[in-house]
Amino acid sequence: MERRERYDPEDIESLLTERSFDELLEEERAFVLRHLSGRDEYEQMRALLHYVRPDEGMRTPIEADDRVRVNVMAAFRAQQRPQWQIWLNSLAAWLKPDGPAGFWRPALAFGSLALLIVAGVVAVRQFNGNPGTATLAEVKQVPALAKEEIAPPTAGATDQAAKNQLEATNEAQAAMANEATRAANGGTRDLAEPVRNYELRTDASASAEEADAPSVAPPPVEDMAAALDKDLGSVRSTPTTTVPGSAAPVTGHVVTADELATNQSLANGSDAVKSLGSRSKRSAAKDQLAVEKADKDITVSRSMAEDPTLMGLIARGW
Amino acid sequence: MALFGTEYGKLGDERLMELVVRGDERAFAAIYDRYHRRLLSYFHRMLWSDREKAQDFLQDLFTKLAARPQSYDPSRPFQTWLFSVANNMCKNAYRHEVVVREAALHLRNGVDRVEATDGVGVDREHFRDRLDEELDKLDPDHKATFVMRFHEEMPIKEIAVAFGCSEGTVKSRIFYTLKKLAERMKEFNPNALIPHGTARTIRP
Repeated sequence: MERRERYDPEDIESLLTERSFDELLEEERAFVLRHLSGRDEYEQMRALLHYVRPDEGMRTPIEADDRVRVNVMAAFRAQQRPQWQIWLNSLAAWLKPDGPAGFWRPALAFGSLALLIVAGVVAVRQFNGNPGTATLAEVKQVPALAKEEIAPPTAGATDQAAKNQLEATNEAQAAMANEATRAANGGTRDLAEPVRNYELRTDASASAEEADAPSVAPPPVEDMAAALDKDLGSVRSTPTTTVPGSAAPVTGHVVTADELATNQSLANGSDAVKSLGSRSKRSAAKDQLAVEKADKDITVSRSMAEDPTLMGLIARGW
Repeated sequence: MALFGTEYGKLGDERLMELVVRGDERAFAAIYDRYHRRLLSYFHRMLWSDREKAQDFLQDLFTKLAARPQSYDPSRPFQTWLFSVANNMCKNAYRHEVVVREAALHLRNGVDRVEATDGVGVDREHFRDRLDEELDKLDPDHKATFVMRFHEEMPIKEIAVAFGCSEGTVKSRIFYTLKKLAERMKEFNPNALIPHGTARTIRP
């Protein structure tokens, strides 16, 4: 039983190789006869098998042509070649076409590349500017604007405008002197009248600009009071001037640059002075006069300070 | 390992394939030199003794190996894997040309069939032609199994791995192929065919 299991039908090859039909054992022969018709078939198969094996060994081996080896090794080299070499070869073949008709391709490609580079540079400069460049541009612009604002007027038309401004100022000062003379003679003295007219006449947009102007911190109350006293004293001690062409001496005052600067400083603190008028507990007459005078002067000063032409003239005088 | 470089001829197939995967050209050349004759003979036998076609198939096989050496599974014996690839190529060739070949064989049988001489000796050349003729008539799997077993002298186990079947299937194919060939080649006298004392034993 165990022996029968060892001889499967597929194992008949070993029997054919090792033994002839006559040499088979009883059990082996029974096994062969279950799959083959008889002795003749077994011997036929054995003869075939024995003839095939040495015949295969006696066959002249076939040699492949050398070209097969060359082609195979070339295929392996091409497969293992670095990618950059492949790319370089393709680029060389592309740059050096076979015929002249093929030159339009690299020419077109290089032209397109150049256009792309130029367009890219322009686009970067326009839409994605360098922050450092923008800073330099601002630095250049700021001094230019300041120069325009404080630059002295050029000769010619600018000098003519300065002369006009000077004449207007002198007229205003003369009017103020007339008023002072009139007041000295017993009439009502109103120093601010010509200036107020000047304000109405020259600067109609001052109020609008004042509203837009940034608020300035008010100076201390004591300083404001001292300034008012000083200003009032200067009014009282205004020297009497003689107007040319008139018999009576005329009390007048020519505004100097220092006084104008003082008035300008007072103008900056106008709001504080207004509040001061409501809070000050000084004598009524003095305070009332001082406040009215301050208001008038401040109004004048403010309008003068907000006049760019006048300020330009002052700056030029400085 | 030699003092300078590697002796590729002494390396195993699997080790050579590792080097081939890394791009070692000499390892690839060693593989080719080791197997090209056997594969060419296999293709020659399988492809109706067409030498040019066998060379083309040999070149195609090694070109595929050069293109994708990583497709080889190192867990399998290289020889088995190589012959399984070759066998698949032959199967594809059979699908395309079996009809044409059958027509050619019929024409050839009618023209120059030569009867074997009884008695004294057998023309080996004639027997070889008859054997190839009968092999071409067989099913491709049976023919390939027969060629691998008796021409390439591959063990049953490797043939089974190459075909992806059991060893019993391989043995059965061999048995029935021998039986069929013996039946079709009755004209040859068994007594004359058996060369006494020349039997060889192939690894089981």
